[in-house]
Amino acid sequence: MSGDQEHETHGHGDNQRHDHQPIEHVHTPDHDPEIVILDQAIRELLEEKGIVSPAEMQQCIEALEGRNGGIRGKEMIARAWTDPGFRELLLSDGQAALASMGLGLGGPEFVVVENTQDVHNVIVCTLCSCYPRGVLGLPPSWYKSAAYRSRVVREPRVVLKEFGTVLPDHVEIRVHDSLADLRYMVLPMRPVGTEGWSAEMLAELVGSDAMIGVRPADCPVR
Amino acid sequence: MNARFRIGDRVDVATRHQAGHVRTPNYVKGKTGRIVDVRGAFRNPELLAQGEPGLPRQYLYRVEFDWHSLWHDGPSSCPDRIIVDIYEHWLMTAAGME
Amino acid sequence: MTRDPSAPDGHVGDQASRSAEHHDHHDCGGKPAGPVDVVHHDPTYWELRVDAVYQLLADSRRNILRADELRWMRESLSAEDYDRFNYYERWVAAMSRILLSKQVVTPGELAAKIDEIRRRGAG
Repeated sequence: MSGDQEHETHGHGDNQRHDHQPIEHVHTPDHDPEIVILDQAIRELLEEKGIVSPAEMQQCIEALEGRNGGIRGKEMIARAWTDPGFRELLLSDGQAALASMGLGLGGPEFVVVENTQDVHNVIVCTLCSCYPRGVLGLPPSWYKSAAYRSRVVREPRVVLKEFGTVLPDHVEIRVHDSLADLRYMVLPMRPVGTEGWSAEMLAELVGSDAMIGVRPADCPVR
Repeated sequence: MNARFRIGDRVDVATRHQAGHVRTPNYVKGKTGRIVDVRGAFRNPELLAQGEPGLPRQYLYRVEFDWHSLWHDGPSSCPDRIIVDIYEHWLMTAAGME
Repeated sequence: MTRDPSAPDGHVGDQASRSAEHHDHHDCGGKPAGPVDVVHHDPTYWELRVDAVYQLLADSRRNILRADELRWMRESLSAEDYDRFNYYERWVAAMSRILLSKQVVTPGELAAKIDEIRRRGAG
C-alpha cells in the first residue's frame, strides 16, 4: 500500500491559519517533518519576493475547499437527466456543454461517457491523478491512491466490488485511462423512482463516486 | 497537418524506451488497439515537461484495447475494454494491416 | 540531519542530468497492489495550501511552472522518495526543485530560510 492513502480526516476547525509562526500550528502529524519545513520555507520566500501574497493564498484555498463537492458536475448530470437536448450536447460535445454553463478546464478537453444497462464506464489516471477539477473539484483520496490506479485497469470488477458495485457478467466495463489532454466524467444512470423530480433534487443523488464510475448514483430515500 | 489515423484503424503502440516524461503507460506498450476517437492536436506534454514549447503538436487519440489482449491470464470471454488516451507519435499502423 | 528533500538526488536543480534518466515508478497500471481504501478522506488544510501554492505559481499571471513540469519532477523523485512521501509531500519536493532549477529561489536563500525556521522552532 502506498503512502497515498494517508489523508487526515480531521476537519479544518482545529487548524490555525497564521503565517510566519515560529513553528506553524497547522495540523501536520502524518507529514514528513523535512517536507513540512521545506513547504514553509518555500511559501515564506515566495511571499517575501512578492510572488504570492497571503491573501491570494487564502483566497485560493477557499476556492479549492468550495470546489470540493463537485457541485457543477452534479448540476450537469441532473440537467442531462431532465433535459434531453442538454444530454445530447453533453455526450456529443462535452466542451460545448461546459462552455454553455460558463465553465472550462483551462486547456484539456471535456469528455462525458454514459452508463447504460449494457455499458459501465469508470475513470482512472494510471500515471498521476488527472481529474476534471474545474467541474468536479478535487479528486477523492482513493482516486489518487496507487492501489486504485494500479488495479482498476487490470481487475476492474474486483475493484468495483470493493466499492460495493457488483455488475452482471454481460455488462461491458470500459475503463478510461485519462492521462493526457482529455478529462472525463461519467453520466450515471438515473435512479429508478425519481420520476417527476426536479433537477435540484436529482443533483443531490450524485456524488463524485458516481461521476467517476465506481458507484451508481444514490437511490432515493423513501 | 492531418491526423494520421481514423476511427476504426488498428494500431500498435510503440515499445521504445524513452527517457524523460512519458505519457504512454507501460501496460499498453507493444499492444494492439483500435482508434475509437480522434481528438485535436495538442502540444506534446513530453516536451512541455522539459520547459519546451511542446512543438510539433501531436494528435491525440482514444485507443481501445480488449481487456484480454492486455492481460493474457484472464478469461477470453471478458467483455471489458480499456480505453487509453495516446498521442500520435506513440502509434503506428498495426503489423499486418498495411 | 536527514537529506534535503529538495535535492533527493544530491544535485539541486540539475535538471539536465535527470532528463536523461528513465523513471517509471509512478507508471503503476496493472501492477499488483492491496485493496483500495474506498473511504474518501478530506484533504487537510496543509494539503490544500500546498495545492494552492501550485495553483498560484501555475496561473496565467505568474506562469512560473506548468502541470507537465510538476508531473515530471514528481516522477523524477527516486523510487524510495516516491514511496516514502505521500501525495502532497511529493508536490512540495517537486515544486521546490522546479523553483530552484528556474532560479526563482536560490539554494542559498532556501538553506538560510530553512535554518531560520529551525532556529525559530528551537527558540
